[in-house]
Amino acid sequence: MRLLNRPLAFILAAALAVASIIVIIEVVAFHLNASPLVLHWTTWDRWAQKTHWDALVVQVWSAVLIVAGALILALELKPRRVNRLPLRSAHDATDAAVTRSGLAGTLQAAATGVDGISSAAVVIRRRRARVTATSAARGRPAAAALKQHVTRALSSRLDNLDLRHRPRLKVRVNSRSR
Amino acid sequence: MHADRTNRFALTLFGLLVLLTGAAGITASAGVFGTGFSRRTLFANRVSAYIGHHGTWVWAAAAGVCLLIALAALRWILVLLISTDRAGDIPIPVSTQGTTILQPAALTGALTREIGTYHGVDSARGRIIGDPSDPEIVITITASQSADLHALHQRIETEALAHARHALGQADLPIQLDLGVSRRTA
Repeated sequence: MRLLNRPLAFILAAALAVASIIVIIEVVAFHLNASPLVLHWTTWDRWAQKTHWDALVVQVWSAVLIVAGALILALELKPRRVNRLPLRSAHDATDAAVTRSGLAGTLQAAATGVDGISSAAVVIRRRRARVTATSAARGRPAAAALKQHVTRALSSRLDNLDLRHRPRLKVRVNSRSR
Repeated sequence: MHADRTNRFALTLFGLLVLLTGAAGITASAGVFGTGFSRRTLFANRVSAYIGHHGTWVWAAAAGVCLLIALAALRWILVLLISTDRAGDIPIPVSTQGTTILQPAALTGALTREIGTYHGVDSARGRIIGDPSDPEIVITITASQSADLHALHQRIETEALAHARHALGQADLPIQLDLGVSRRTA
């Protein structure tokens, strides 16, 4: 978001600066009887004097503005993705957290550390951690037997981290396909 | 000034203005302000008439406002291009007769070197942000996958961060500690 906001902000700032400078130039030029100088605003003035509010062009441009404004607002007001999960700290002035990818990495390590698990994929959301592990052995019974061990290992890892808000754990163990 | 909050505020305000302009246009066009109004031309209203009668001072005032907007926009562009949240040299009062100047890189270097020696740490990066008189340290640690993150967190907090607070003489120095885990398997 921050990366997208910067070019957007740059475009807006540049547009504001250019538009303001053009207005200043045209106002000064008008007083010197030299207007229009940079922008042919008289054409727009004539167009606005003969265009009615119920014209199709007004409706189309209004709809375009509504869509553009709604898009910008949605982009800016959308809640930011959680990238840090706060940890309990001994010192009040310490703001410690495990990163989202860090938590995913440590849970992945905990899952693959269980005997019989060959790989694991972890997705961390604001309040939920979803772990999908794959058993080394084929067949559903083998996978089902491992689920409890994997869940215990992951719960233990989460408890040990001492997170301020522990995410809910959802574990799935799939059997190796081939 | 760091630009991120300004960007978000200005873009939100701009989005709101664009949305409201569009909504006003479609409302006027649909005849909500009266069918008579929707059949008028765009400039056939009180505001346009007022500007038409008092154009001399209204446009002069508009040019003045535009000058302020242009200056603010140029400053905004400057901040966008060159701003940083990093702190400059940090003054540490040592006695009534003098002040020691601490370079941020010296402190973060010492801190990351110390943390780098801890078991389970793959890498450590640090920076100091904010005002030099009221700094904040941001430390980013990448631990190995086999590391005990809780033990590592406790050790960093009780040793390295305590040393940093002691070095700056600020027991309540704000420190942000981000613990990550390496993607490489041990």
